[in-house]
Amino acid sequence: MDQVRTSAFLALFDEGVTFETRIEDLDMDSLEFLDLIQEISAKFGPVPEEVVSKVCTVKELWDAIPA
Amino acid sequence: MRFQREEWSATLPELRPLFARLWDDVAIDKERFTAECDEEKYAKLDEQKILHLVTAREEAKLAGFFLCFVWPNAHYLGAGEMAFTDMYYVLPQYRRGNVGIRLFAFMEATLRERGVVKFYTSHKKHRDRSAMMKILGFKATDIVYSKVLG
Repeated sequence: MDQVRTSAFLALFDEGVTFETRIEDLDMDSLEFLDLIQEISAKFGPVPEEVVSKVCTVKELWDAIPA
Repeated sequence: MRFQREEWSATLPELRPLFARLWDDVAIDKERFTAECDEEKYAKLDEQKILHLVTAREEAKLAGFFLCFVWPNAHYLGAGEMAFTDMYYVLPQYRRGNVGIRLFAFMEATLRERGVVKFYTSHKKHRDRSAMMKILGFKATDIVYSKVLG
């Protein structure tokens, strides 16, 4: 993985969040999560809509972003 | 978090405390209407297989639920069963990440499995969830008005 890109991705989250962190453990509600998805899409490429309702970990979210 | 279909009658004891929490959280006209579930009426709907309940559980603890009425829409003879949202709720401590989104998506998946052809849902005007509904593929089709008459 591109270290710079992955570091920039993880920097969008709160301190302590790793790829293994579960989405449901993030300190944000659904609307804040959707704001984050928009931010991720703007920086790294579009996150497919169907992924948003399925991803369980930060890693799965990262994997869903087109390289 | 696990999502699953459950039987109304079996889950009702755990649901009861959440009804009051839901009312307290989002209800309007509270001075006129207080939350008191007509359990006999719901039991009759359950007997007719109209109730469609899904739950969210953290380990064994009930974290939230989504209840729909599923029946044919009399406007559309022969079109198939349609789902009408009765109520949904997630305890505040579980409103994290995409839990709410996954609850809706799971409800949709189970309705599809049941053969339901259309899913109607809504959110309170003072709890705008339009961004969530849009990402789940819903389109806004109605504005609901209410007025206390008596």
